[in-house]
Amino acid sequence: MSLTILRLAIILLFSLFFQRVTAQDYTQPQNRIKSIYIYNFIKDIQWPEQSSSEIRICLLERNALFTELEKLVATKNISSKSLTVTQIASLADCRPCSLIFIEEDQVKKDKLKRSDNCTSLIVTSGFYESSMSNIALMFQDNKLQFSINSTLCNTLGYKVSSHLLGLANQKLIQQ
Amino acid sequence: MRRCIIIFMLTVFSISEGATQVALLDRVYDFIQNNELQRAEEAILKAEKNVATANDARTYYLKAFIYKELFHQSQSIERIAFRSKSLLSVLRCQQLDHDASFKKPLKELEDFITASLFNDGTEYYNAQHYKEAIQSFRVFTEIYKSEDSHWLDAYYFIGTSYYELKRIDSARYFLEFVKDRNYDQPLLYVDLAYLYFNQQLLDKAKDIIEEGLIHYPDYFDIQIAYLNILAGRGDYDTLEIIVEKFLSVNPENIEALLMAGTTYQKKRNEDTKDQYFLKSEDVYKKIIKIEPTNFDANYNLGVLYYNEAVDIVNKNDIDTDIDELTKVLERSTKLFEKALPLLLTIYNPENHNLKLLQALQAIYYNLNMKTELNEVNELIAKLSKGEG
Repeated sequence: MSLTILRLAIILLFSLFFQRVTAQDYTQPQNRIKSIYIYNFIKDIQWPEQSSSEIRICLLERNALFTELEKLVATKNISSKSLTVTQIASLADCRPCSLIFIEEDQVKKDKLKRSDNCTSLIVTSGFYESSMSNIALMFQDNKLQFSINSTLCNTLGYKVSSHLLGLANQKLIQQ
Repeated sequence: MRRCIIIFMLTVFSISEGATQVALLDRVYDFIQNNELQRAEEAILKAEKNVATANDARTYYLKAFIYKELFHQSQSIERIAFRSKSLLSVLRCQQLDHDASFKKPLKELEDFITASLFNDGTEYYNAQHYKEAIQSFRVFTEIYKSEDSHWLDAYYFIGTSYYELKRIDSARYFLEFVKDRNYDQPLLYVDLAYLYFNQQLLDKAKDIIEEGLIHYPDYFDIQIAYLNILAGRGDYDTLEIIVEKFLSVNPENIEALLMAGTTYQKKRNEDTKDQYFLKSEDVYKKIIKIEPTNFDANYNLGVLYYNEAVDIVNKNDIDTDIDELTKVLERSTKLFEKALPLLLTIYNPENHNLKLLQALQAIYYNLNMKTELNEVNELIAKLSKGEG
């Protein structure tokens, strides 16, 4: 008599160990886009007579945009002037700034206002305030676009190139 | 089996002499015939102590038979002890059976016991009672005399039981033991490959699975293991070839399609970016066509689009003019918009997945969807605090 062994089916499940991909840093693209806009604004706008040898970009926070801008403009010159990025505590410190960049959450938090003696070019992001914004960066159709406040620019002596004016979406500030 | 053994017993007794012995053992035999196993047990224990029958091979044959029957009929935990007693009696009978009168029925008893040990082992194994499975198979291997496929099966199951118990060194010893004896089991190559892989012996894992492929080129689990090991080694060049070969035979295997997708993403570099983007996109779309709510395909394709959008933005330096930037924004925004519905397809508000929420956060941020972004930010914060 032969050995009668039950050979049971032993079910082993093997599956593929594929990986999920990882999303890159989500604020980075917006910071790059904002930096490129800021640099282009500086190139395409003529400042009232200034004796300074540098163009100083001021931010209210030392955040990821600050780092990105600092990295991108480090070796850049416009009209033989070097570009620097500086943090300021408030708009009261605006005097040395060629350009001030303000985000929407900062203006809400600190209830910022342009002081009478502040003649810096102010770029606001996410909001427009006619007495403050020379340029407003705002989203439309899911894309970051810009509008120019020609009135305020003229008042403060900024000459915006026709090229830049042609690219602006003025509807953003008319709404 | 029982009928066969009883007929043989009658033959044995008919040719035996010695009235005293026969009288004692006859009573045992009668009890067995009447299926009075308790009384048969009592009688055989007496016969075992009787000087006239204590050294008679027949006593131990009958004892082995009684305990084998008790084992067979019992459902209680005692059955294991019955089987051990039966086995010990078989061994004692073999010692006393000088003229080999009981050779054939003893072999049958022994076969029954070994088969039951093996079968218990497989039942324990399938019920995931690995310690008990190991015990049964170990006893089986000790009494089973031929080194055939059953014997190797038992060692193989001992090895895989140890593997399940995370006793990797013991598992490796037994799996290599059967491998060295040319055990014919394709899963052995898979088990050894994963074992080596988990021990970070990546070359050894690759060698053993390639050896398995030579013996069993069409065996599905070996092919799957090969793909995993190539991926684990980061050997994406070979993996690309093998996974595409696998998919030519199994075109709708979702796991292989996913692996192809990640392989293509791993193989992307500056020169091959566009080519592999399209290949990845193609396989993920194929999966979504087969299984529209597949989490990994929707997630990976969504993140593929998102990462592509980020790359498109990031390859522009500060000298990019606004005309060009506008075009870049057109392209990247379209990709963000393509990613969003894929991620929303797999979003389950009842069961939050942190990686998915982070991908949604990235897209909401870049599409400036503030309300949705705030909601996701809150959920991520809760999950991070362990409240989600």
